[in-house]
Amino acid sequence: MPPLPETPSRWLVLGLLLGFATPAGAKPPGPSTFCAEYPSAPACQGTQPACTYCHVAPPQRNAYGTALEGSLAPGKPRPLSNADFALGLPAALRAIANEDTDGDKAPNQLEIEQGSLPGDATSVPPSGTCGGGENPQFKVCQYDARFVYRRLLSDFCGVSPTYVQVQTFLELGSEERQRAFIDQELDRCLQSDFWRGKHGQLWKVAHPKIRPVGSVKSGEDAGQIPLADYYDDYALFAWSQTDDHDARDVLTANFFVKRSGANPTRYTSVTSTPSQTVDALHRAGNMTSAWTLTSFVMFTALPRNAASQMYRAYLGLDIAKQEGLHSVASEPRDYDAKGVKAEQCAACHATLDPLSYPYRNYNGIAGGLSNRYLPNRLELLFPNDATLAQTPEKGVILGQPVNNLLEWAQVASNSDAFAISTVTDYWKLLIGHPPTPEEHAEFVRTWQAFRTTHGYRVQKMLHDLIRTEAYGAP
Amino acid sequence: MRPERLLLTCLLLTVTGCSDKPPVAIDLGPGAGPGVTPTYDGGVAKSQKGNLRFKGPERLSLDLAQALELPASAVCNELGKYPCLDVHGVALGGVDPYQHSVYETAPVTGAATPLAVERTVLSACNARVALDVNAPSSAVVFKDVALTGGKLKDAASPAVATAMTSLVRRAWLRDPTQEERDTLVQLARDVEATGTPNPGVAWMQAACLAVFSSAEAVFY
Repeated sequence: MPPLPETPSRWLVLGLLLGFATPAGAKPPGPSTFCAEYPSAPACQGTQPACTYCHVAPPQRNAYGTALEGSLAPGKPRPLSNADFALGLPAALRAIANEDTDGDKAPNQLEIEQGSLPGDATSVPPSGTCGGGENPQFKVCQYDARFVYRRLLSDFCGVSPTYVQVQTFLELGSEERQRAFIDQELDRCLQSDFWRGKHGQLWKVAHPKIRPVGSVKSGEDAGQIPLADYYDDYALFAWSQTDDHDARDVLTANFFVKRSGANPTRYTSVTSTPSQTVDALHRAGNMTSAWTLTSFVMFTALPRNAASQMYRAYLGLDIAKQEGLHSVASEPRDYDAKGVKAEQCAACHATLDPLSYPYRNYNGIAGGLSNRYLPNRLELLFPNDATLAQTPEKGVILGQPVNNLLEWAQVASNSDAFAISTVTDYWKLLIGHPPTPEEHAEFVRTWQAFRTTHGYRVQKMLHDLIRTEAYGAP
Repeated sequence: MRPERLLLTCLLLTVTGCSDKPPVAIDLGPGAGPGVTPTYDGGVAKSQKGNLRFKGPERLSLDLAQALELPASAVCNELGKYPCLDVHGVALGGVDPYQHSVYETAPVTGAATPLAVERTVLSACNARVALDVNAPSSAVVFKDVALTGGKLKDAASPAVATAMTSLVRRAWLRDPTQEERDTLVQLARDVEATGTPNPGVAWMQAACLAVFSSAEAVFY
């Protein structure tokens, strides 16, 4: 088994990437160099700007990327090497800082600092102004307890308050008493089946992560070809998001969760269940569930799909959109001979392949060997492929080396990206969109408190979220 | 657009429109309160956010069931047995993850969404009106609203005003303005003028539809 390289420094990566970067494509060092120039930009808080910050889709540039290119390393022959690109980028960023490249009347630097997009005319910095006039039904531009009460019951209980309930709420008088009542109501609604029950709101948050397929479901509500029971995945997800449980359990649990009852629906941890077959020493929450292995590993030797789906679902980093790229030196090795060393593939696969190696012993669909951890899986199931057998179990996630999938899960669940992704899920569910530039400060406070003060407890985070102006100002 | 839909649309716009007229309270009887709220649409403060959210299939159905005091299963069913929130779930902003791999709600409103909303609301309204008309002693919204020869007996009666206030409170969680209530009462005469049979019942259905399919009822 070849040794895995140490974590590369940015400059080492730059040097190693020289050979296979796409000539006119997005440059891997672009985001990190941008953030070094604009460290306080909202796009750099706990994450990095996606390639779409400068590109429509690489190599095609948006207005900002086009202006940047014109100021980048003038006189140097094109295509620029990654080293020349990284050296020239800071000066180019400064050169166009005062321009308004997307024509929305906001200079680039202001947009970057305020969190709007300098290459998108529809994305503008918050105006900070509120309209005049009066409206006895709503307190626009400020936190409106009546509005929050109505919205909260709809969001978490699934039904608006009645007229009488609204009047009773208003009779509480002071905003302090109203806010205390709202907190009580939130706790009550978090027990409702609309929120936590089968097919409830938490399940809705989980759909894009679990990606169920009814026709191959086993167990309750089984399909025509029962292969695996994804209700176990929903149960662990709901468990991790409710009561006083740690949200990271969704990636790290070595136990399973069973759902029972209704109104309220209960989730209970168990050490084993007939529908799950990975042994306790190799379990990593939903990353190693029978459904994940069936659906995302399937018959694959190197389960890139499983790794990229976990990266997308739980860290919010979609490699297909060139998000979360942390290129590893000397990767991809292309153990499975898929041609990923080609320069148009390598920019993503230098991140994706080392991300996938820790899945090498987790088996998908294979009769009696389905959905299990099999030491030497590749050697066992692909005995005639010596190169494939060299695939290491060690990998790299977020630039950090890991020995196996359990360590992968630990690094992932303790990352800023996990906290940001978790809070973003609820931001989208409850506010209706990802955080906007004007909501950014509240968003950052919310995910940072979720990670620190609240110890990854979603219920506590939700109390914070409903107190934001983003949620409570109509 | 069909004439009756155009009429309803115009009336709906009127109901939710602007006015500088001061509100005039109607006495609804002891303990009932004035039943109207002051108009507030002159120089109304504009939201910087404009972040209204569509209720979607589950909330729309649950709100209709609660507001019109119907069992959730009676709100709307296609062919009498397939719940509208399932049949029209995706059109109503829902998901269909297990059978059709629709894991997230559509980022934009579909072309069929307004029709699905009206379909659902009208079904619930028809169910409520039928119950109120067929069993007046246990009527919920249109209590004591007398019909003669299929027509509204007295549009100016307190019972009619009370019914309209009740409708608005159930949908908008506030009292109607005087103009809103007057417009809903005026709707009775407009419906009669179309020559439809049973204009009294048609008015109840139309008033209910206008209120419960309004932006204030469908968004939150």
